[in-house]
Amino acid sequence: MKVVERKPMTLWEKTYLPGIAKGMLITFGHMFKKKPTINYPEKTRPFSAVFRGLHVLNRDEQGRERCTACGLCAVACPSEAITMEAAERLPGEENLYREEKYAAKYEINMLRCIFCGLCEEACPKDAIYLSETFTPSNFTRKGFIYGKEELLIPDPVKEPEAYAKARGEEAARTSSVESR
Amino acid sequence: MGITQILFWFLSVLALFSAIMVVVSKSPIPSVLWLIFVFFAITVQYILLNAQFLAIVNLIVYAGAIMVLFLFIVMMLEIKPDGRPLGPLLRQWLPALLLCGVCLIVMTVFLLLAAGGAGPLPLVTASPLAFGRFLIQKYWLGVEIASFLLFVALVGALYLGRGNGTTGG
Amino acid sequence: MHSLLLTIDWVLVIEKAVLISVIIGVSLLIAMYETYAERKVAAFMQDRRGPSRAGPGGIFQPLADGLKLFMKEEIIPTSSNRMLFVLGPGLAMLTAMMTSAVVPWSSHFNLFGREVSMQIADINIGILYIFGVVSMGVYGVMIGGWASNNKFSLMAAIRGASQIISYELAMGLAIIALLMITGSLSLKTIVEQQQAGHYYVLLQPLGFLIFLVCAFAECNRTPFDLSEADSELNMGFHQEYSSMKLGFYLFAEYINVFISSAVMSTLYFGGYDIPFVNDAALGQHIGQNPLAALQAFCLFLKVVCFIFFFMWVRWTVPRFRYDQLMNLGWKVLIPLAMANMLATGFFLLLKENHWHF
Repeated sequence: MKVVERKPMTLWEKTYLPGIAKGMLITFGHMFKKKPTINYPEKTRPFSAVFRGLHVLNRDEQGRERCTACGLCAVACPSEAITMEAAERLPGEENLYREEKYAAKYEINMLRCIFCGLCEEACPKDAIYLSETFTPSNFTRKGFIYGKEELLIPDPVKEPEAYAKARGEEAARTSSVESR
Repeated sequence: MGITQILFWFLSVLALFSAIMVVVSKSPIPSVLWLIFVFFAITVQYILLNAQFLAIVNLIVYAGAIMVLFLFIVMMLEIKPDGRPLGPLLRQWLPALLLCGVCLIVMTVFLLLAAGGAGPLPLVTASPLAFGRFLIQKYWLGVEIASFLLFVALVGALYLGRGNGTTGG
Repeated sequence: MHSLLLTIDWVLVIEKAVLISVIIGVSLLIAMYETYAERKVAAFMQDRRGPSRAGPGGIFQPLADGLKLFMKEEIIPTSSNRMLFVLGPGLAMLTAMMTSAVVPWSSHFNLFGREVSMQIADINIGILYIFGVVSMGVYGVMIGGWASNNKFSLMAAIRGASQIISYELAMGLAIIALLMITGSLSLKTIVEQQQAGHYYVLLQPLGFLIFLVCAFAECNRTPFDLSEADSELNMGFHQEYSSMKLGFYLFAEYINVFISSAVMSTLYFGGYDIPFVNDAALGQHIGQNPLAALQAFCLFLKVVCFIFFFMWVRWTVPRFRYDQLMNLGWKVLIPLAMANMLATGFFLLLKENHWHF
C-alpha cells in the first residue's frame, strides 16, 4: 500500500513549471521509442495456429466437393448463420461431388457468424474450415451472405495455382490438423 | 490627384458611410461591426498623415480592444431588435440632427477663424520615442490625471458590479 | 507630397510585390507542412507512426487533406448570417497573413545592383503593428462564432475572445519590458542590437516566458484551446463550418503559430543572426548574398524549433479549465509582467546612473 502525500504545494511547484518540464521530458522520450505498429496490409501479424477467420468449403484431392449437406454444421451453429439445401447427385456428376448427396445451396451470413468454429468441429467430412482470411468489406448487407461461389475453395485439378494460393494461407494450420 | 488624395477621399467616404450605417443598423451587431470599419478608415487616415504611432494605437485600443468588448457584451446579452418603432420619426432623429448641426457650425467657425494661418502643416514623422517623451515629459500631469480617472472608473465599476456583496463573481 | 508620390519607385514596388508573394507562399507552405508535422509529432509522442500512406513517409498528406477540404460540400446554415459567416474565416486568414509584413526574414541581398531588404516594411512601430493585427484576429473567431447561430459556437467565440483580450495585456507588458532595453519598436533594429550584443532572452528570461505563454494563448493552442474544446463545446467556434471555410480557420491557426514563432525568434533569439558567429566578419569572407541566405536559413531553423516546441507542448500538457485560464492570465501573468517591467526599469535607471554590475 502506498500512502499518498497530501502536503500543500511549494511555491516552486505552484508555478507548474517543474511539472510541465517533467511531462515534456517524458513525451520527448517517447519520440525515440520503438513503434509497436505493424504496417497492416503489407505486413500482417503471425496468426496463432487456431485462428478462426472466414469459412472455406473444402474439396478432396480430385477436386470433388466434400460437403454432403448433412446439416450438422447448421445445427451446431449458435448464431444460426448457416443455411443449406441438399440435392441428390445425378449420374455423371461423380467428378463433382464425393458422396451421393451434396449441398445445392450453402450460405453463411457473415454478419451473424461469430467465428466460434463449432461448424468446423461438427463437420464429419472435413468439408468446412475456418481460414485465415478476415475483415471482409462490402457495400451492402446482402454482400455479406456468402454463397457457394465465395466459400468453395478452387478446384485443385482445374486451377492448381489458385488452389495452392488459397491453401497457402491455411496450409500451416491444416497440416497441423492433419498431422494430429 | 495624387494617390494620397484618392485614398483620402475614399477613406473619408468609407468612414462617413460606415458611421451612417452604425446609426441606421437595426440590430446591434452589424452596428458594432460598422463601427470597426469607421475606426479602420480613421486608422488609415492617420497613416496618411504620417502619424504611424497614433494610427496603430488607435487600431489596438479602439478596434482591437474596446470594440471587442462591445461585441462581447452585445453577444453575451443577445440584444435583438424587437421590431417596435422607436417613436415618431422626428423624435428619433431631431436630437441627432440638432447635435450634428451644432458640431458643424462650431467646426466651420473654427475653420474660418483659423483660415488665415491655415495651410499645409509641415510634414513631421511622429516617432514613438519622440511622441512618448513629449507626452510623458510635457503633459505628464494630464496623462496621470487621465489614467487615475480611468482607474477610479474601473474601481467604481467593480463596486457597482458586485451589487450588495452577496452576489458577486 | 504630390511630387513625392508621383515619382513612385516602380522597381521598389515590384521588389516588394515579389517579396510579399514569396513570403505569403512560404507561410502557406509552412502552414501546410505544419499540419503534417503536427500529426507526425503527435504520433511519435504517442508511439504511433502517423500519416504514412500518401507519398514516401506520408509527405503528400497535406495535399491530400487540402484536396479533401476543397472537394467537400460547402454548407451554410440557413439560420446563419450569410455575409458574416463567410467573412469570419476570411478575416481570420487575412489577419494571420498580415502579420508577416514587419518581420525581418534576413538582412539584405544585393541583386541587380540594388540592396533588396528581406523585410516587407521596416516601419518604426513594428511590434505595435503586430500587436494591432493580432488584436484584429479576434474578430475572425468572434464573427464566425456569432454568425453560425449556434449556442456552442457563440460560447466558444466568447471564450476565445475573452481569452485573447486577457492574454494580450500580459503580452504587451512583457514586451514593454523588452522595449525599455531596446529603445526601439522596429524589429530590424532589435535584431541588429542582438547581433551586436546578447540575445535578449538572456536579459529578459521572465519576459520571454510570459511572452511564450501568451503566444500559446493568442494562437488558441493547447493548453489554451478553450475556444475549440471538443469535450465541452463540440468543435467550438467552427462547428458549423465545412469545406474550405473550415480549412481557412485551421490554416489561420497554423500560420499564426508560424508567425508567432518568427516573432519570438526575432525578439528574444536574435532573429536572423547566425548563432556563435560574427555575421559581419563572415559576410566579408563569403559575400553578402550567401550570408543573407544563411541568415534566412538560421531564422528558419529557429522558427522550426519553436514550431516543434508548440507541438511538443500541445501533445504533453492537458487543457486548462476556464477559471484556471483566467486566474493564470489575470492573477499570475499580469502581476509577473508588471514586476518584470518595474525591475527592468530599475536596473536601467541604475545603469544610466553609472552603476556597474
